[in-house]
Parts: sequence; C-alpha cells; structure tokens
Amino acid sequence: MLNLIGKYIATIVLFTSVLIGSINFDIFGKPIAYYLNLQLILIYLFKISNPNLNFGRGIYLFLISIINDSLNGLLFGTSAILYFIVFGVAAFQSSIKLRSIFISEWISFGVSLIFSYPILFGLITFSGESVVISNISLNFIVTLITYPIFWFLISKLILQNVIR
Amino acid sequence: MKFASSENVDVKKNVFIFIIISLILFFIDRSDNKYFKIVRYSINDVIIYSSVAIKSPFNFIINQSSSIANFFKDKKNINENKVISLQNELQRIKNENTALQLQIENLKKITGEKNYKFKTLDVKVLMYKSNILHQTIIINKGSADGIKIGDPLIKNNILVGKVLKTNFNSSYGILITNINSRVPVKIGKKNYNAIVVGDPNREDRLNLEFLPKEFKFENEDYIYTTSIDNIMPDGILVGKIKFNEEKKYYAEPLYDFSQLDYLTVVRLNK
Repeated sequence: MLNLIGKYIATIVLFTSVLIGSINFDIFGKPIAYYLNLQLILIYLFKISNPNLNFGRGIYLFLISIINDSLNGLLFGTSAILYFIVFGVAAFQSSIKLRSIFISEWISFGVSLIFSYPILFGLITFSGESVVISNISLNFIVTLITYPIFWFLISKLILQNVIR
Repeated sequence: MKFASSENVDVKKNVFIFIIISLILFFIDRSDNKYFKIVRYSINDVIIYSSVAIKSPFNFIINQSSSIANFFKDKKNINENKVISLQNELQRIKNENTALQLQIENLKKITGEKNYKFKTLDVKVLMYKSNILHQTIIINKGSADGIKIGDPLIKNNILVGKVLKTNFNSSYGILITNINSRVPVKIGKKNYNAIVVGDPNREDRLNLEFLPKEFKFENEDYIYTTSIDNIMPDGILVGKIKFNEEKKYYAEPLYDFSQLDYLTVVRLNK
C-alpha cells in the first residue's frame, strides 16, 4: 500500500492541490490561488526531483488539468497547456543535468513560467474574458519567489529518499 | 540518473502530443460546438459532483468539530444560528421594502411601465473558487432546471452575480465584483443610468461606467438594477454610493460575499 502511494505520490498531491483549491483559505483577504499557482510549482518540483516521473505517460497530468479547468470554469485544455509546458521544461532540465543544482533549477523554473504566463494570458483573452495584468504579474512573481520554500518542503522533506 | 534515455525522449514526445491535443480541445470548446457541449456538460457535472463527494468527508469533519465546540458553549451561543437566520430574513424584508419603494417612485414617473414578475429558483452553492482570473461560484442547478446564461443570482433581494455558464445539473456564476460582470443599473433618486462593473483593484468596490456627463450623487444613494432588453429584472439592490474623506464618491456592493451558501436564481424568460 505504501509502495503504491509512494509510486503515485506526485499525482495524489497534485490532484489534492486541485481539489483543495476550492477550499478558501485567505491571506490578506485573498485566497492562496490569487498569489501563486501551486500546481505549476508541484509539477516542476516532482519532475525535477524524480526524472523518471512521467505522470502515467502524461495521462494523469492531462486528466488533472481537465478537472482543474472544470472546477474553475475554464475552457478545456487551458490548464493542460500550462502544465505540459512546465513539465516539458522540467523534463528537459532533468535530462541535461548531471547533478542537482538548485540555482539552475530555479532559473529554468522561471523560464517555464515566462513561457506559461503569456500563453495563459493569451488563452484567457482569446476565450473572451478580461484579465487584470497586475494580478497575473503578481501571481507570476510570487510563484517564482516561493519556489525555494516548496523546493525545501518537497525535495528535502517529502522526497528525501528519492534517488536523484 | 538517466541521461537522454529513451524514456526521456518518450516523455518529451508525449509532452508535445498532449500540448497539441490540449490546443485542439481548447479550440473545439471555444467554438461552442453543440455536440461537444453535451460532452462538456456531462464531464463538468461528473467532475463537480465527484469533487463535492470527495470533499464531503472533510466538510463533515469540519462541521462536526464546530458542532462539538458548540456543545460546550452557552445556550445563547447555540441559538446564534437561529438569530443569524432571523437577521437574514429581516434584512431581506428591509431590502425588498427599499427596492419596492424605488420601483414605486419609478412607476410614478414612467406611466405604463410593466411590473415584471419572474419565477425564482432556490439553489445551493456547491463551491466557491477564487483565483487570479475570476471568482466563480458553482451552484447545484443547471440547464435541466431551466437556468440560462445571464440569469441573475440574488440573496435577500441583493444582486450577488449572474450565471456565466450552465451544465445539465450545475452552473457557474460570476460575482458582480468580477471585472467580466456588467450590470445595467439606476442610481439614486435622480435615476442616473450606468453600468456596474467589478473593480480590478478592490473586491469591495464597484466601478460605474457610462454615467451621464453631469451627475450629482448623494451619500447612501442606492444602486439598483434596471431592465434593459429584459436582461435583468428591475429593482434588485446592487450597492450604495459612499463618499471618502476627499469627498470623492465610490460604489460599494451591498452583499457580504463571504456568506455564500444558498442563493436564488431569477429565471428570465428570454
């Protein structure tokens, strides 16, 4: 049982984060999802911490993205594009490195966000909704800045036994 | 660690394939294809109700813990819920009274104006999601119950939002504080026409667009809906005009959005 949980820990944590996103926990009067995109951090961190992780060849990641779109009232495929961009960058980063260097991982996470956020902005605008650029910029910055905290929690505490 | 292993090449190929699939899915969904709509409605209903079911044990634990906490409290505190419900009822009646008075004033001015009567439907809020894009609520009734896109969501005769998308047995609603929400309104005793839009900077403020060139508000002026092309019923309270220390006006929503449990959908027969 523990082995099974260990095998699917990334999918379980990601799925839980999508579900918990609908439970409101406010910081300074705004929900966490307003400040940061937890799913993008989790996808990147799990992939970079375990290069063999592939979320069931991407199928689980795709299904979770559909659930996220459904719960947020977004057009299907919106989250999936972002998730796979971040996952792709993490896969590339984990294939070119010989050992874990935190700074280079953080920079490449920033690069994946630079690709993702303009695409999110484009997709939402294209779907006919207005987006506040300051909100999306704040989310981008906080997601990037808080990466080390989650890196410490996940890489050092949860996945400390994973062979890197 | 494997370096450029066949598995990694496979992963990159899968990433590319899934991005293409997602893009195709996005464009199909955006095209509002009637066959895909049925699929989307079904998928959304299954996901929403499954999420509610999965979350129910957690909600049950939270409710039980608050019940246990209440058990050790005074009788006065136990009756707190009853008092809140009576306060809500009183507030609703007060708001209805204000709205009716405003409507009477209007009807006095405009002879022959129809007094629309709409069917209503009580709904439960299943989820409230707030992120950088919008604040969405998911309600437990959908197109199968006659709910249509644009139907107003009210509570105690105060406008909370409107239906954005429908599924078969659930619907998405946006709050009036959302920047994508646009509501035709009248303001104050002089009945200035305007459009209420959410303020992108503050969730507890509303922006007023398309106001006449010359206008003069009074403090505590009511903002209430007006029926243009039958997209909104008349006389639902939206907010109030207030003045800050610099004597500049601002519009404040009347509803406290932290208490979204049960709402009423006004069914507009378009």
